[in-house]
Amino acid sequence: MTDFQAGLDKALYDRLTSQIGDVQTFSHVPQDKSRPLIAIASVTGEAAGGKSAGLDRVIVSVQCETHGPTRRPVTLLKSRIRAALENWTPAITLDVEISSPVYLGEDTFRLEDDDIYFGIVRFLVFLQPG
Amino acid sequence: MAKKLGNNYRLYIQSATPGTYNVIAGQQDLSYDRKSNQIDTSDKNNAPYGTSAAGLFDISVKLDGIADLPDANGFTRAETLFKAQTAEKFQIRKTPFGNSDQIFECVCNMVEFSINYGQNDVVKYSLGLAPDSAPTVDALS
Repeated sequence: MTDFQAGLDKALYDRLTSQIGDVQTFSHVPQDKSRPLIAIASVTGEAAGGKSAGLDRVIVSVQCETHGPTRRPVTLLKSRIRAALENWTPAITLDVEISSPVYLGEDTFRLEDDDIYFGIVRFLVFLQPG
Repeated sequence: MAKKLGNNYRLYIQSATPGTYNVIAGQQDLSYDRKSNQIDTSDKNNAPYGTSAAGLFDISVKLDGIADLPDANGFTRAETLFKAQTAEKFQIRKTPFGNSDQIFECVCNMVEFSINYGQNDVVKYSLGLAPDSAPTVDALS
């Protein structure tokens, strides 16, 4: 049984780490980790392979966080995440074939008390055994 | 085996230089319809099931997209040829969209070129193709 999400997580982690080396990427963010940071956040999948299965349609959200008095750093980081992933052609990773990520949209919001800005960038991918 | 993904296919139009092609920008849904006309071969002894033989193929290509201009070699070339009622060769290519990646190639007449200017929406086009002659490439695999 192929672990689709493990392959996707590793491919995303490797890609973000190589393309945005000055901001650390996490699959799980340690407590009290300082910003800026990038986290592979939610992954929502559904079967798309028909009766024989073997294909998942997945929406993955990549989250970024910055700290400071302006929104500008988080918008810049979102644009860098988009540039790193959109239309990139991933290699087969952990026996998972990953389609080129398609940009779906994004959100930006702020925690009032702490000057922390959050950005979420969403992508669509298809996963199947490689 | 691998399941094929629709994002990996694009419609191309031949340029004024035969053998060179350009993609039409802004593509969304692309479909290739194939069916065969049916010739009724039933007689009274076939009841209750009618029988048929396959007749002429009836094929068409439909492309929906978002106008992404300027696109002189793609959208505008197709639009110009549509208004001139002139057939041109089209290809459907698969990734990586090289010169040998066509899965469909055919001289086609453009029989639809609609544009929709929707409220609070992008400008969408819809292009319909019908064969002028038999396809020279016609296999998904």
